[in-house]
Amino acid sequence: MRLKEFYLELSALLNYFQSLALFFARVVVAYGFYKPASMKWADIDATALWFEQLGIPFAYFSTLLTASIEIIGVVLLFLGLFTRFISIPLIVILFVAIGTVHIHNGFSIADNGFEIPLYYILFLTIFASIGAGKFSIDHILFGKDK
Amino acid sequence: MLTTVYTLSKNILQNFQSIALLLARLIVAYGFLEPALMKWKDIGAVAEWFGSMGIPLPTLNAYMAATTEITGVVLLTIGLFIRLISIPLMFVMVVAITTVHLAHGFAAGDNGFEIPLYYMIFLFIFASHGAGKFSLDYFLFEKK
Repeated sequence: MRLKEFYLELSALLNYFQSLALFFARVVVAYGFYKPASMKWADIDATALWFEQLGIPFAYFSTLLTASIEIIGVVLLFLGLFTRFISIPLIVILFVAIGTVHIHNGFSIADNGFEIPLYYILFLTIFASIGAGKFSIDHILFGKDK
Repeated sequence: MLTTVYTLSKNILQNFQSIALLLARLIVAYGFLEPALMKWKDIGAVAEWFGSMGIPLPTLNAYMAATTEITGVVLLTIGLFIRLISIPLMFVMVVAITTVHLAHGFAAGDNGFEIPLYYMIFLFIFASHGAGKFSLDYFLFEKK
């Protein structure tokens, strides 16, 4: 019984850090998408060619779409605006990335495996289901009905 | 209008909170399995390695880190005392980052602090949000 009381106390205390944890996660995932996004925008034609080699249909259109979602994702995740919405297409992009590039390399990052995109999928699933936390524009706009 | 759409999608997506936390828990547990087993296989070598990095009381700390990690694997998987175990695991990550990874920069490809940082953030989310419904914590402490 004492243990239960202690654990519930601890939980109540740690609950205060929810928004901070989500904020850190959002900033780090936004940072993580920044490099692939700017790489794609730096040379859209080369990326489209690469997408075509990977067998992705409508390579040019898919490239523009992916690059757009990624760069919008960077901004929205950072601001915490429409966090739940943007997380879903970002998850789709990561599944495509795993399926076309990483799956053949196994799990470990050392072999360019699917380890990191998997971590990103998990973070984004958390954002989609839990939201952006209080340090976000979502909270300012939609926080009232919580 | 926008608020209606947002609230509607929120109500749907909220149902996936516990699944999201469960998947994250399992993956983080899996991530700790390898370093934990490596440490237990040759704890003497780990103590020596810790000593060479300037970690004080290397043998004690090797046992502490290895114990925390293997306990973490089990507790994260079954979702027991998740908030409690996440804190020392975060501490292990901070030590790993400062002693090993920081000098290599960010990128995981260069053995940088990218992956331990992701683990730290996952653990921070677990500590602050708990394990979700698919956990022993939920049955023991939260279910009415």
